[in-house]
Amino acid sequence: MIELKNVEKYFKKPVRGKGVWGMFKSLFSRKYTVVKAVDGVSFTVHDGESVGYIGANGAGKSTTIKMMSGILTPTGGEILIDGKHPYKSKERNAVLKTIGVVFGQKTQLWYDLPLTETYELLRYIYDVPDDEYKKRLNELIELLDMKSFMDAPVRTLSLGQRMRADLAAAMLHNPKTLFLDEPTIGLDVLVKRNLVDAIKKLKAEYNTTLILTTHAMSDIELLCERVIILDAGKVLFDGSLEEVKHMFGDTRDVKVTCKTVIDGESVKNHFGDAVIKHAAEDGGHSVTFTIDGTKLTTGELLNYMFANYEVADVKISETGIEQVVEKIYEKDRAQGDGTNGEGDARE
Amino acid sequence: MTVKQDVKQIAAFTARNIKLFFKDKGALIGALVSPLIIMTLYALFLHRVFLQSFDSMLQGITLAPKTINGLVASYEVSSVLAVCCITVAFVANMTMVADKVNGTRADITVTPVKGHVLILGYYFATAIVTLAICYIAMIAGFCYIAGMGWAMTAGEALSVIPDVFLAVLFGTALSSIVCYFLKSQGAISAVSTIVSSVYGFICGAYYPISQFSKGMANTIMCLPGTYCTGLLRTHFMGGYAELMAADGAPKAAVDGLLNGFDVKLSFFGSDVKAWVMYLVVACSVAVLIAVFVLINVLNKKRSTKV
Repeated sequence: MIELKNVEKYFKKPVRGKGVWGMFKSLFSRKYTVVKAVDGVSFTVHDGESVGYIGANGAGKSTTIKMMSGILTPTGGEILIDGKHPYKSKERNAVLKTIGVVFGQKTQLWYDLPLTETYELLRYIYDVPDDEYKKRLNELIELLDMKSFMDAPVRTLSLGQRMRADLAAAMLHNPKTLFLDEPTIGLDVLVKRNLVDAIKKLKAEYNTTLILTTHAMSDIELLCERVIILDAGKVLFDGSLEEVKHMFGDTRDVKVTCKTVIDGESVKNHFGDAVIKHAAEDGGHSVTFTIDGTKLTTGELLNYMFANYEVADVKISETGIEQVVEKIYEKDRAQGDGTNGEGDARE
Repeated sequence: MTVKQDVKQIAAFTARNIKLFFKDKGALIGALVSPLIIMTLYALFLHRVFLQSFDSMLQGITLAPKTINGLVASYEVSSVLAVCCITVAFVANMTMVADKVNGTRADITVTPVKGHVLILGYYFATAIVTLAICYIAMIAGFCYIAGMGWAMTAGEALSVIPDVFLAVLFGTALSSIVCYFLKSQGAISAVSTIVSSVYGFICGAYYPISQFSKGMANTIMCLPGTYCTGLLRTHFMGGYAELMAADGAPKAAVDGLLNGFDVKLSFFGSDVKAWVMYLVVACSVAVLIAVFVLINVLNKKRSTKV
């Protein structure tokens, strides 16, 4: 179980003076800005849970992951992984043996050596018995389809291959918890889908607790049942995927195509504010109605359309988490400049 | 159990670092060729100068060409080996600097690796690579001396092996401490150039310590690197005393020559015995390794400070 209790992480950033004189001045008297990257975050993740940890750039997602994986020490609060602090030197190694971390923008593989060399070293680092290592490596090679590039130096691998290899490296010691920090960043749709499928399979196979940070909401929808939304270092929302959609607007798009031209405005007038917006296409033969699910059901709208028009086709799509988060960000941008952290200059 | 695990991890890290070094063909060839190039330069350009210098110290006594040539060749080879134990160690430490530059050292912090395991992995890899290259240089040196005039006994020749071993351990520890703070490949090149030039002088490899003023000589004798050179000089050149005596050189002249070229080191007027030199170097190696590990531990504590 992972417990975060009022966790804070502040970074002290030096403010460099402008120009040569400013640089010279800062040699003797340096000002600092304190940036609150994580500001009182608390949550609990139970064993086997899959949690999507999302937020805008600079919201504090990666900092939290780094604190949970023992790379950074919190400024305040407490992090417990199975009752142990990952950032305390005496408990650190015990915690790190039970977790695996994949950073999408970094790799823990040795660039100039074949994958097998890295895995061999990781085996010693995590003290994996020989038989278990061989069995597990074969399973991962099979599951992640890595056979073709096992002996190739890491620098020659494609990004998709490297991510799979990184995932295998993180799973080699069968960690109880897997932290995935933007694992699909930079991948094309097909490769991304394959990687997400592989993570799903791994999770199902080993019942690994999953904490995923990403900007690709489709990954969250496919992998996580719970979402924690972080904004400016604070938890904005913590609940199920369904809840988040409902809380930030249960809207859905209904695209109706008719043989005759649809008068979208009259449909909107009929239902009032239950129809949020409408957009016409194909010379008015197709109209997409965005409806508020709490005020109007898809059935009611369709009944009206079938009664008044010769409906040829209907397409219904629920609002994705992507749009939900977009809404949150828009709201955030409207309130301020969208940057995180509060700066406070000190001598 | 933990110690066994630590040893296994150190061995795995050492193997990884050695493989990475040998993958870098440029660094490997550079490290391998540099002692041989220095040795060739000594033989081509400085051999005659050293001959004249040795002759002047003999004050009119003429030695057999094989004796004097062998003595000079031994002096040259011991100088080259004394410096190479440091310069090659700097090149071999490239792996540690590269790991810092490309963030590998930071990435490894997400694994349960103890700081001393990581750092000793670098140390042993550098030491093994440096040892391999210095032993190749030593064999080349033996061949050169054999061609010019051999006088070493089997015991003396064999003693060179532990001398080089200790000098390499010392050089590796010293270069590792310096390289730990470097953050770019350019910095390591610049620092290794500076250190190798300065070290050559202060360890008595480029110029005999006995030729310095007394104060300077005693100051330099406080530095442990001097004893690495001293050991090499003792074992490479000690055998020539008998040969010079056989050539008719009086004992005073032989002693004067050997003292003048640091075959016998003296510290505040007392002769320094070989076992003392071994002890000083061994203790220095232990202290430097401890400092290296301590720096890493303190640095790690500082970086994760709340």
